[in-house]
This record gives sequence, C-alpha cells and structure tokens, in this order.
Amino acid sequence: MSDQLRKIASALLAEGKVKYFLGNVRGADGFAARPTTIRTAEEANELIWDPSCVNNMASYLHEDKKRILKRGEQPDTRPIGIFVKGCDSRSVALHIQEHIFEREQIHIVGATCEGVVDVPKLKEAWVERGLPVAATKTLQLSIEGNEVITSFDGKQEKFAKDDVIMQRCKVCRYPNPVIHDDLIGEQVEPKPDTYPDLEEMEAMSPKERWAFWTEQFSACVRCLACRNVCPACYCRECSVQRSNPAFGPRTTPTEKMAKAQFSNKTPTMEDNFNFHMSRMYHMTGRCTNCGECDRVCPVGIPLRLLTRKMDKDVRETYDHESGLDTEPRNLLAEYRDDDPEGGFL
Amino acid sequence: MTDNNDNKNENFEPKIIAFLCNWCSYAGADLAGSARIQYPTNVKIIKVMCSSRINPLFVLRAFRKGADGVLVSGCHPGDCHYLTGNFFTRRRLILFKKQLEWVGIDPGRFHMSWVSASEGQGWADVVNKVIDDVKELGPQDEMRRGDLQ
Repeated sequence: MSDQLRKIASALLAEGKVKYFLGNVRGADGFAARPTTIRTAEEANELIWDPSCVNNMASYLHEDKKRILKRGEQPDTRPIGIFVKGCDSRSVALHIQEHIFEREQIHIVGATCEGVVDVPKLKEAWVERGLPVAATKTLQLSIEGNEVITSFDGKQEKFAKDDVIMQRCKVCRYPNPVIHDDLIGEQVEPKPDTYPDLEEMEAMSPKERWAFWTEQFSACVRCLACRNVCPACYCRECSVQRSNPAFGPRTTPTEKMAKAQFSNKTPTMEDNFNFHMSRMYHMTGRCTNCGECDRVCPVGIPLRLLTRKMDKDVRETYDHESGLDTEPRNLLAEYRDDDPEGGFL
Repeated sequence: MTDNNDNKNENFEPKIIAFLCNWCSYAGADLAGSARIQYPTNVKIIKVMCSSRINPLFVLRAFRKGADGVLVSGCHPGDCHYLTGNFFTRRRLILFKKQLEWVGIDPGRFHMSWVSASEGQGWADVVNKVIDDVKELGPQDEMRRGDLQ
C-alpha cells in the first residue's frame, strides 16, 4: 500500500503538480506514524500508508493559510497534495464546504481503510508478549481479516483486530474516501449505522451523567490539544483561549464584545465544563467524527462520547451530515420552515 | 451536587435569567405589566434585539454566574422582525438543549419559548411554568462560580 502512495506522491511532486504533499512517515519509535510535509520527489519515498497512520492530515491544511509571504514573494497557487483515509476525507470536504479551500486547491490522494491501530495499545500488547522493542525499527503493519499482522526481521506476530484498533474504527461508516483525485486500495464494507457506544450513557439519568462527566472533566488540564488537533477548529482567535484582557481607554464596545470571555483560565471543574460545552457547541453540525480529539487527550477524557452524541442528534433532528460532498452546506447557517419545534413552550 | 435541598425547596426563590427579543417577547412581557397580569418576580429580563443574537454560550455564562434557570424567548416562527432570525435560533437552541441534557444539566433548567407582543397572559404562563420546573429542581450548584446579584 505504501508503494502506491509513494509512486503517486513522487509523480505529483516531480511534475510540479502540487506545491507540497502532506503525508505520514515512520516516527522515531518505529511504531507511530509521524505527519510531515514532503517537498521533493526523493523524500516521497519515505511515505507510509499502513494501519499506524492515525493522524488526520486535514488538520495541517490550515497551516497553509497562516503562512505569511516574504516581501516580493509570489504566492504559490498550485494545489496542496494531501493523503487521506475515509474519515479524513470528510474533514477535507468540510473545508471545501466552508470555503476555506476551493476544490481545485487540494489534490486528494485517498485510501480505503480497514481501520487504524491504537498505537499505545499495540505497544502495550507488544511489551506484554515480551517482544524486543529494538526490533520495531523495521516494523511493518497490515490488517488481514480479523487480525493485525506485524512483521519485523522476517518474523510475524499476529494480534486480534478488536484488541488493538481504534475505537472509532469499530463504528466507522465511511472507510472509503468521499472525495478523492487518486484512490489507493479496494472498496471496504462500511460498518452498520448504529450507535452502540452511546447506549450505556443514554440509559443514565441526568444526575448520573453529571456525575460521570464531573469525574471526566475534572481531570482536564485545558491543554487545548483537542482544539489544536481538530480539523474543524481553525479560528485565529479562539473564544476559550484568551487569558489577558487588554482593555484600554480606546477599546471600543465592539472590541470588548468580540472578546467576551466565556471561560476563564482557571482549571476548575466549572470552567472545564464550559470549555468542553463551548467546543461541542461550536462543532455542532460541522464535526465529522474523525475522533482525533479523543485520541490526543492526554488524560483520556472520552470526548468521542460528546461528538458521537452530537452527530446522532444532528442526524436524527435535521438529517444533516457534514463533509459528505463539496456542496456548501452549514447546519446552523440555514433553516427550513418546517424544522421540528420540539421543546418550545 | 445537591441532594439535600428538600427542606430548602419550600423557601427557595430561584433566579431565572430570561433573554427576550425586543420586538415580540419583550413587548409581550411589557403588555403583561400594563395589563396588570400578576406573575412572580424571579425572572430577570435581558433584552436583546433578536433571539438569534443569543449565543448559546450566553446560557452557559448565565449558569456559571449562578442562574438557577434560563429562559430564551422570541417571536413565533415566521413573525420575526428580521424575517428569518428565529429560524436560526430554533435550530441552535434545540441542539444546544440536547447537548446540555447529555452532559447532565437537567432539561428543566433551560427553557425556550415563543411569545408574541400580544400574548401578555402567555408570557405569565411561560414564566410560571419555568419557575415551577426550577423550584422542583432546587438551586443550581453544578456550574455556579459566582453569585448573581
């Protein structure tokens, strides 16, 4: 699978069809994939596509917008090359839906995906079996049927797929890229359209849920990793971030309003709660459920319980799903006269 | 968490923040006043130009400042002074309410309503309903950080 990707990416770079290519290379520990920017055809031979490529590369598209040109420098108008899995392709489609990029500005190399491994879990299983960590420098991963096969130095080790793949892959409904210019791999059967992961929480009473989330959110250190990794979070000024109000005599009411402080920096339970609610609300109807926030959380807050529920609500109430095509759509910026009225007195 | 407020409930006077749109709900509340319709004074009204001005984060902010309940009220759908404002409000708030429920804020703490300028009695009814709900739930201690004056 890596070979096809390398071939496509190096051809694109050699012909100058893309200005750079966003993809994964093998990380220093030998297990994880490291997201990187590839600028030359030679470098493209280091690209990998195997079940360790968990990163959603769409998050790195924003960096292009942040770059400031040098004086006299002409902007490079060629498209950006990007490698996407099924879930990531929805995030890229969301960017196009929200007019952050035009369709022609991104060259999408899509790959069908049977699931990616939870790297910490795999490492744990690896160590449990007493396998040498040094051997992982030549590690190769692949998924066949219900097994994750790892091979190194000509030896093979098999792990049960359900034990080591990401939770999000077990309920993935979009294993095939929704938009792509090049496609790697054969079509994969999507998982059924159910929400088994929410059943436990749905059965709880509000008080029990509050107790559950209190415990979870009290661990939050507000590192903002969930926000930084999120492909749908690209505001330059974030409503939850500012900690230093620079109000002077010349600050206009408009400016003060724009900087309204919705959550303080204090890491108290209430503010953590506020932060996560703000984040959840801002993602309403935009979140593509790529599950990156859940993966990067250093204290293991199950953020996917929030985003999955949101996804379910939005689909049930408005039959809306973001990032499925490139038509401009935004749930909260449009309406129908016959929208449901539930809950209004 | 407050499980022990059974004895407090009798004398508990909730503080409820109501966000009203300038053209319908506020005028409705005004009408209730001029028609001398009696309703409890627990509601503190904040007037906004349109219900779609209300960022759901305002609601969180109100809870954080110590409100026991929040009410958002606007024009009936189709009657918006700005033609389409309340259609957007409707989508936002319905989803926001579900999110509040999901993290464990009781749905009785957050209410939404449509009150037109001619519905003085309707406004009083809404207020009574909200106050009843919030009184049943008792003081809101989950998110309180400050004390609402």
